[in-house]
Amino acid sequence: MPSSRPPTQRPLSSVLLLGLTVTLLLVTAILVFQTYRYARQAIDTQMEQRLAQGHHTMQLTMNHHLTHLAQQLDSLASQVEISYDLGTQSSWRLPLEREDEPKSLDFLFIAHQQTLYWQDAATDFFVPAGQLSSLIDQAEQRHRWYLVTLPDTESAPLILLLRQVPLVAPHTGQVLASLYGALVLNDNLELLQDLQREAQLQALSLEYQGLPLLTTQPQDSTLAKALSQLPAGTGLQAVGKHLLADRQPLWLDGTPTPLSLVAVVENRATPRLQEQYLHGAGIVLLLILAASWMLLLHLHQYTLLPLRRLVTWSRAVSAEDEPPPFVPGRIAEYNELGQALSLMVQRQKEKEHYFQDLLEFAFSPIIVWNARLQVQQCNAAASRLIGLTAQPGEPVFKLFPAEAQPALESSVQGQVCAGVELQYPNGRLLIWNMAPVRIGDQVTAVIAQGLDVTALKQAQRESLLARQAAEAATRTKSEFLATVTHEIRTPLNGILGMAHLLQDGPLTATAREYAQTIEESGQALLTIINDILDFSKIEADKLTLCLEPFHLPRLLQGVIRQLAPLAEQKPGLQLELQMASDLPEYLLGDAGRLRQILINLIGNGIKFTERGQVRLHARVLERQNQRIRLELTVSDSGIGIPPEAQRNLFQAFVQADTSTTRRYGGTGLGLAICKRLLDMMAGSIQLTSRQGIGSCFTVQLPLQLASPPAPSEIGAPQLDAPLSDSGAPPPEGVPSQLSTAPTADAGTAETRPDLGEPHILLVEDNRVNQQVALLMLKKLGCRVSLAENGEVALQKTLDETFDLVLMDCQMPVLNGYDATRRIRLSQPPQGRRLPIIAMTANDQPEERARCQQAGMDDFLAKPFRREDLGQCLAHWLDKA
Amino acid sequence: MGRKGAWLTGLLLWGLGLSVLGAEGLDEYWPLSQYQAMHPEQAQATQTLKRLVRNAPQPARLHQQGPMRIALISPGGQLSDYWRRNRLALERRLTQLGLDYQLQSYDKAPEQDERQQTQQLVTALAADPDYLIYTLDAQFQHKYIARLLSRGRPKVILQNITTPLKDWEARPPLLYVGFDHQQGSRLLADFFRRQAAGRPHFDYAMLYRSPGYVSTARGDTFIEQMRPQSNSQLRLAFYTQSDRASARQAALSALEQYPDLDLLFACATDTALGALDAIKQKGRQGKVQVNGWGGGSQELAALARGELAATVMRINDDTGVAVAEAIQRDLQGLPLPRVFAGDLVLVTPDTPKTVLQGLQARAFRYSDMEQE
Repeated sequence: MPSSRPPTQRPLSSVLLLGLTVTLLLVTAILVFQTYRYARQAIDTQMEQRLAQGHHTMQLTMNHHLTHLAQQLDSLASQVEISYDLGTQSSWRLPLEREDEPKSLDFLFIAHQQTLYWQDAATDFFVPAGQLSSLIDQAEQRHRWYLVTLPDTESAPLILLLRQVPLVAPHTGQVLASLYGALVLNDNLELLQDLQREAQLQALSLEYQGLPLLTTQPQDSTLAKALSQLPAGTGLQAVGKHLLADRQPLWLDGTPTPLSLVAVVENRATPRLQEQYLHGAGIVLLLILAASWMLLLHLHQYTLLPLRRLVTWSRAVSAEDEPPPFVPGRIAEYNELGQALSLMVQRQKEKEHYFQDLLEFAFSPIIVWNARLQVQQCNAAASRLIGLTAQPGEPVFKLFPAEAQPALESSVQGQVCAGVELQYPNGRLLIWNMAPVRIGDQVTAVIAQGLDVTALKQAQRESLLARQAAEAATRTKSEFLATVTHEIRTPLNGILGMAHLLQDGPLTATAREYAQTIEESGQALLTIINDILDFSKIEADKLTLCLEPFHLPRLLQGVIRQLAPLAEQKPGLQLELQMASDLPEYLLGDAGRLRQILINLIGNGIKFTERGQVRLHARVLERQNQRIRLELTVSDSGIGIPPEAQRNLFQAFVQADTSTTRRYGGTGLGLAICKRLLDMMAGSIQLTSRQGIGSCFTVQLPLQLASPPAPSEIGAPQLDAPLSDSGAPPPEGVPSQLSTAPTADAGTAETRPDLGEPHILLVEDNRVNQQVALLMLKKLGCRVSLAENGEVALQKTLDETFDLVLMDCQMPVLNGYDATRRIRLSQPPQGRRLPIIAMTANDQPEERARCQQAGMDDFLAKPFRREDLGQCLAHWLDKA
Repeated sequence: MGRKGAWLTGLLLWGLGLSVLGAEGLDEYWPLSQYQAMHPEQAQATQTLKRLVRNAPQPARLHQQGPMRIALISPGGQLSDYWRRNRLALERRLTQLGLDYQLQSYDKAPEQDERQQTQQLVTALAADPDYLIYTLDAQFQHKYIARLLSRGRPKVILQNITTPLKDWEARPPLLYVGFDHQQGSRLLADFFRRQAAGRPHFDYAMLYRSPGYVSTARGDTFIEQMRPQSNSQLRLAFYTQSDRASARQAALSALEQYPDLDLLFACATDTALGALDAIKQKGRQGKVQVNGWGGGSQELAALARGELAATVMRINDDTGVAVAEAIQRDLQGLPLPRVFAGDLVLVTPDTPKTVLQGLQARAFRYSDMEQE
């Protein structure tokens, strides 16, 4: 797990101080800034007004000055003593040695049209030689000031304001010439200083077409340089720190001229304002800091100090075994917290003790280690059991074998390691469960609890051996039973067959009775053997259900039909079948086992009922989608079962009472088998019985509806249900309620089917069985060829043509399965399929499946009766 | 106002005293003492320049790109030899300082009119001098100097004026140099107040130079200083044309109107000599006192003859030397005082001869070199 860097820790006091100070500073700064901004705007507005007023004053002063000069000019013009004889005068004799005064015209001259008549001394000073005529050329309207420029050879052009007034002959009124007066603006510092003084400006600069002409400041001064570099345009402009400048054009006769005045005023207010605000801000800052410190001191005294005491006490509580008692302070919340902590700590200590006791006195070994794989706890049980010890702080590897290392490392990575089986050097086998303890995302410790399974494992080993031995014994028993059964059934087949055949011949009444007794005894023995075989399979857990679609009405009718001969032996007994009208036809299930159950139950009913009826009633209890719950009730009017016997009735080898066995025979396995089969089918069986009245067995089992099998399937081999309930639907006219009244023997020779004279190959190695089958076949009118094993049979099928083959399965040389496979291979695929019927003493589904897989078409379980053989032959020969 | 107008004004309004003179008063100037009090930071530079002037020259060995051009326009045609000696002192000190210079001198005759003087200035400026040494003794010059100061070139050194103009504070000349007219007039007023002390009355007439700063500074300061003397009274005042003849004419007029005048106060050497001419013409020697102003050779001779009652003697060559030293310091970029005033000493017939000779030797230490 990557280690994240812990954040920088700061004392609470510094955090509080910082937060408080920053907040106050921010608020103060905003307030100060806003008020400063407003004050600054007010000052700027004032300065703008001040400068606007200054420009206005300068314009008025300039106008006044020009008016004054105009009056001077007018006065001089009126004093001129005009000579009438212009032609005789080389120059004007004028009293123009005017009194010099500071604010006077700079120079004067008299001209008429392009002719210069006179000029004063100052003209020579101000006007470059030869350029006076240019001034005359630029003359404009009289009695008004106009701006005239003369190109200067050195730097700036000569810029002056010129005005002319007419010189008029007193007597004639003739305008003889014009008197020109000029005000030179270049270097006219006095004029500029006048304007500055009148407007009360700090400095003033005169510009012509944006170029600086003159400033009232010393030329090498900083201010003069700043003014010369002032950006163009009007509006307030800062010059240095304390000055503001504003440029406005100079107006002449209501018209702006290319001349501009840059007025500069001192702006002490803004710097002073800044200074005051800085000063004020400094004081406020100090006050804020002082207030923060005072607040912090208060907080420290009354909040932080108690909190620190609480923290110190908390640390002592966590560090010491006998922590000091909590001493309440002034802060109620802290006291509550402290008391709560105290209580919590007390409980924690109790838990710790409890845990420690638990750890120490536990029978299970418990080891605790930290994330660095260092032992923290190792209880006595652990040390005792594993024979290893480690002190706290030592590597935990000391307590575990080497193969535990991956699990130990995984555990500190946060993985739960369960069921870690470890063999210790002292012979102990322990299973460890290692559980990491997390705080947040970090594993702080691992708790491992061990389970000593040394004895358990030993017991398991012994148990396994015992079970294997038992299973082997069971297998041996089952195999023995199967073998015995098979071996019994084979001679029994001969006995029954021969007894049956014997009865077909001419016998005395006594002999016939003896023959019948032999047959009945054989049948009884067969039933017992079948039951024992089934039960042994159930016990060996080898019985499996074979789920296939079957026709329920046909199955029920088949059962009734099969048992009818038995019922017919009791003259006053009637066997009845009642089927509900909504009974489904096709269901999915093990039809053979269901038939077995019904035969057992009905057979019992017939056995224990002398007169009256034995009834099978079938109906559907529930229907939900494709599933139904079928109820089959077998009721009789027999002797009934005493209540005390009913409890154990479904247990193996139990009958109602021992006298029953003696009187009625039977193994007592039938109902137990029914119960086990129904358990396997998730069904149930219940009994209601009253002695002397009768018994009623109710079977309920869930089944799934099925579709009718496809036509091809109808013609396919039907090994599981020969001559019975599968395959084609029941023939028309078969009633839903079937009743068998005592009739003549339906299974006698007189009822044998008309088969013609089919050629049958009988493959059988047992001579007795061979004889029985041969005699039965002959009785049925068949022509029979014999083969003693599969190989002979194969050869015969190649040499001759047969209508059907009866094939025993267990034979020497070549068994029936392999012989069938080879016969099938030898036959042309497009030709007639030769029916091959298995004959075997093993009447089990597995055997049927094996026969089917070998290619056989049907199945006759030995011992079989001649009727069974006849029906089978009739079925297959007719089909062929 | 033309010259006739000035005359008429002087004649008609003499009785009004300072009310007339106020128009051309000293309001626009800073008295030297006041200026120095206002600018204590210049005391060090003033003392330095005074020390340099009194001591032997110390050439700075400046690396000049070429000869500096100096234009000197002075009223050298006056009877006072102050201007001539001043030019000599300047030239010789410049030479001793080892400065490469070209001095173009323009002598301005007092009788030159405004047009001629203007033309003289235009001519001098046409040569584009580095330094213009000029005087301010007529009103029309004021405007020209103001423009030159605004222009910044050439650098202007104003001679014969030690009271800075208030209007030119922003763009002052490089140096005001001369002798403090007011100080000289105060020295003379002190002397004549002592003369008047024992008399029942002490009437005097004022003989100005042409209207302008010098007349105002010297004449009006004397009038102001004499005012506390209760038995003293200004009877007449005349503006002259700064020459001996017009002064004689004015003095005659005064003597005709007030034959019992005790003093004809002359604002310049020419005026004083004209007044002496008139007294001799009227045969009033010994009856009417005349003062000198400047202590030039002619004045000292007249003093020796007992014709002048007193004069203030300038340490004449100090100003020329001061200008030369100022130019060198300007070239060096060293600080200069705004004003340099040469020393003035009251000299009377009672002044011991040896003292007078010592003063003369010091006053003309450069201008008399040629004679040596």
